Amino acid sequence: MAKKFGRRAFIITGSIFGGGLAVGVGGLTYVNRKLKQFPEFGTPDGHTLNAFVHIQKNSRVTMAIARAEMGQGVSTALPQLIAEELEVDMSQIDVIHPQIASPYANIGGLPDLERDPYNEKFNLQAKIIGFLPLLFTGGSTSVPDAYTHLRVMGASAREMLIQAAAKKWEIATSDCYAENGHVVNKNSQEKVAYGELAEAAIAEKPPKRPPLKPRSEFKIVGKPVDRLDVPAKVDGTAEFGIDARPEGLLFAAMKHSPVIGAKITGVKNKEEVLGMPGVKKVVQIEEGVAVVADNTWRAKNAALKLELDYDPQGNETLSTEGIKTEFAAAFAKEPTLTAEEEGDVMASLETAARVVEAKYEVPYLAHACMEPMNCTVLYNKDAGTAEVWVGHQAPSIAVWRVNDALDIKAEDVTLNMKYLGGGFGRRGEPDIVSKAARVAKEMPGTPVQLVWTREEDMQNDYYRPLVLSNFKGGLDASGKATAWHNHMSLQSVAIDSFGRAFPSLVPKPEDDIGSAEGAMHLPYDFGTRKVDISLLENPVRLGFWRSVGSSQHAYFTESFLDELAAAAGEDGYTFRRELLVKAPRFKAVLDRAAEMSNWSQPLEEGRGRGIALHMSFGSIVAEVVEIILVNETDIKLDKVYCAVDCGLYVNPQIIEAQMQSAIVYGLSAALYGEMTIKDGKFKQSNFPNYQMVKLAQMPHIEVGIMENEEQPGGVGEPGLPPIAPALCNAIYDVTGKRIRSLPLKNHGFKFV
Amino acid sequence: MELSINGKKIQVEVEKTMPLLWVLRDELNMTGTKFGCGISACGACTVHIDGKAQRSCIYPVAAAEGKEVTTIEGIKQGETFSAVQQAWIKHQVPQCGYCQSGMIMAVESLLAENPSPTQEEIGQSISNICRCGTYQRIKEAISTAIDSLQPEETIETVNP
Repeated sequence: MAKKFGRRAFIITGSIFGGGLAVGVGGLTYVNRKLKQFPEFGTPDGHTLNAFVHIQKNSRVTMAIARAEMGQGVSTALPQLIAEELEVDMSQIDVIHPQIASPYANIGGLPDLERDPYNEKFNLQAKIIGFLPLLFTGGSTSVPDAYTHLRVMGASAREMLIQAAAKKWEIATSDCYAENGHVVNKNSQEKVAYGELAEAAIAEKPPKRPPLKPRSEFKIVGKPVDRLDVPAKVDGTAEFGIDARPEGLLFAAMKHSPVIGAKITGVKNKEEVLGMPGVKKVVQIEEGVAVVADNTWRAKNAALKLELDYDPQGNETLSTEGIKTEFAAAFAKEPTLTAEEEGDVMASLETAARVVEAKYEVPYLAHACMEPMNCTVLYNKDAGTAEVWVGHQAPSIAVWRVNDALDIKAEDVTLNMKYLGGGFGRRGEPDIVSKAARVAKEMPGTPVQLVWTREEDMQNDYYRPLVLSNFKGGLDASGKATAWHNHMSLQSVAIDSFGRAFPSLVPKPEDDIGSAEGAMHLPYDFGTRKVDISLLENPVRLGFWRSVGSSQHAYFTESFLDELAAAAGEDGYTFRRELLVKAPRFKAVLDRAAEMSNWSQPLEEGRGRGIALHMSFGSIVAEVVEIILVNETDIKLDKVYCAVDCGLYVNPQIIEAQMQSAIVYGLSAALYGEMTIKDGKFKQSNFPNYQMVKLAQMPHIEVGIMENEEQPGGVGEPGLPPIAPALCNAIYDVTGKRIRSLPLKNHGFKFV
Repeated sequence: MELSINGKKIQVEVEKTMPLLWVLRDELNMTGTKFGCGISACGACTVHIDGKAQRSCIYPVAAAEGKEVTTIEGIKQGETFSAVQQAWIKHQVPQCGYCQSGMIMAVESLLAENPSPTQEEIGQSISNICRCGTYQRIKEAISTAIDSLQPEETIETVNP
């Protein structure tokens, strides 16, 4: 594994987190940096009013959206927030992706975030993220980060335009209002378009606290407006990273070490490969060897011919079975840490009328984004600059890797952010960027596009971890749950991933409660509970996979809860409901899903249904799955009812799409997903052996969104965690078979 | 060799075995057709050969000689989206959008051959992979496209 870290990142995070903050991040509040310290962007004939709003001469509005569009709809939802306050129609908006700058940092993932953007005591972490600056799209944070800030940006620009108009007419600002891209004079009903006011408006001071509309007056936020990116995505004009075509472009393909974590020591047949059609160069880096050619296909054919010498680093005997045995052995030892504890679980288990035990497990999973990993880099050696074309979830980290590879400064890297053909956490990792930069370094002056084949992509991922989880639950004589003990054995995603990106932020194993993300803070009133973690080290590289810890822990907890319900002789809905006495918000979501699915009505013979409830990324989702058992092995997924409480929301049609999306992503994993290792190598390599749900298997998904005024939660991920347990609970309902490991195909089931 | 792509004659000098996908993307810079798996498993690279859907990642360019190749760039008529594209917009199908060129090409071909396919026929024919899971809206959009493609006098008899 490459353990190269951005010097810049290391020095800054090292000094900040390691030994006191010595940099000037005080002074301006976060919102003021967005209003006053920002790069110019947009058209030359227009005017930039703040970090997000640029008014063109023709009155169209360019909005800077610094989050990656990977399908989740940020390039529509975030403009909606600005447009609502700016009083412009969505058809008047152009979206651009700005260069990396402080106002665009993402603080949406911070816990206990102070939501008042004017708060002078804005917490230190937010200031550091702003200073780095750390831009990323992940953790379902885009709307939570933007919900207030971007409305303030729209409102501030609107007030500056009103101030400019009032001066022009020599009337009070209170005699003006903004409407549909114009400022209107209340007295004369005279109108002036934003494009004519923008030049004067930039001289106006941003108002101290521009008034924000009450929710009751929203015309755009909370409405199912059409996505701005759809037309380009139906006629082939949308440009993804892989579509970058700078002048003089060459293409590169790569062969990685066949064994996980092995280091390349040489190429046996470099001359032979150099002689193949179209081949320009063979570049050896630590993790693999790239072939640069004049066409991706020629590069790929040449890369396939490479015969590599490598040092397997002792990993040549690694196997899934071996890893599972090692992880299982940890249950007999003291856990590394206790992530959560309430009351005396062991005493409660001893006095329980009934104790239920079960062992669960999930395998490694690859992300398998539709667009294989790729990155295009042009290194201008003489000028000491570089240009990068990529679709990436963490552009700051991507640029630090370019700095490392080319030994140039961050400000000398121009990053062209493209659409992402899927992200799901995979595109937060900068490995492809680092590798592309190291290849481009050997081709100065020529842009090189490194594209991995599907096989290289799947076998060189950062995987969702293999996890084992052992449960003990206690029931009293009346069938009420009184004890909940979960002991998990796994490798830490945080230690592995932060170890690559921010070594000074790596948690110590005994502090890594994040490994139990999704297994802690369950809303149920168990009386006593304990969540233990055994952490193990392992050479398999881990990464953030859509919904991260919740993707496996909700499967475990919501399946085991169903086992307790069955032991108590109750149905899954009623049993959960009775445990939600202290969690009315959860109860309301559970009730909504039950209501949508007509839970109280008995099913026809041959049908089964299951329910699951989980909170992740600030949003609560309950799902009911209804299946038809066609015969002993064939299952038809019939319906999924999904109730989501994501608090204040922006675009219900995008939320519906994201729930459907997360459900399908979770279904593919539950039905088919596993990456297995033998002799140090992954066995799965492409879609035929890493299968996906297709149109023919698609259940009908109905989505219901809860209405309330809670803080905005995430939307891209929370739909995923409940789907596997709801499905497995449905299988139990109709077959009596309890599924304690995934994928379902290994239990003999087929999905028709 | 000479190819006919979206109605235009184009000369290319490449190996006869080069898959059409890479001729389009890397030789002609027509990037609307996508690379997904390279083994005809996902459908992201779907184009039409004489009007019929073909996965271009395994289709040697020499086989396209003398035939009409249509790519996603050739579906729009001037500024007008096709009925399928309009249905895609109406139902807001795309998320990341990477598979959608191939999806639309597969559906265009299906409906040209069979203007009123059953759900089962749709399921069998459209085996493209979408990792964003847009299948439900794809199904809805196909229904809308089927309706809009019916000759007017038969609309009332269409079974959605």
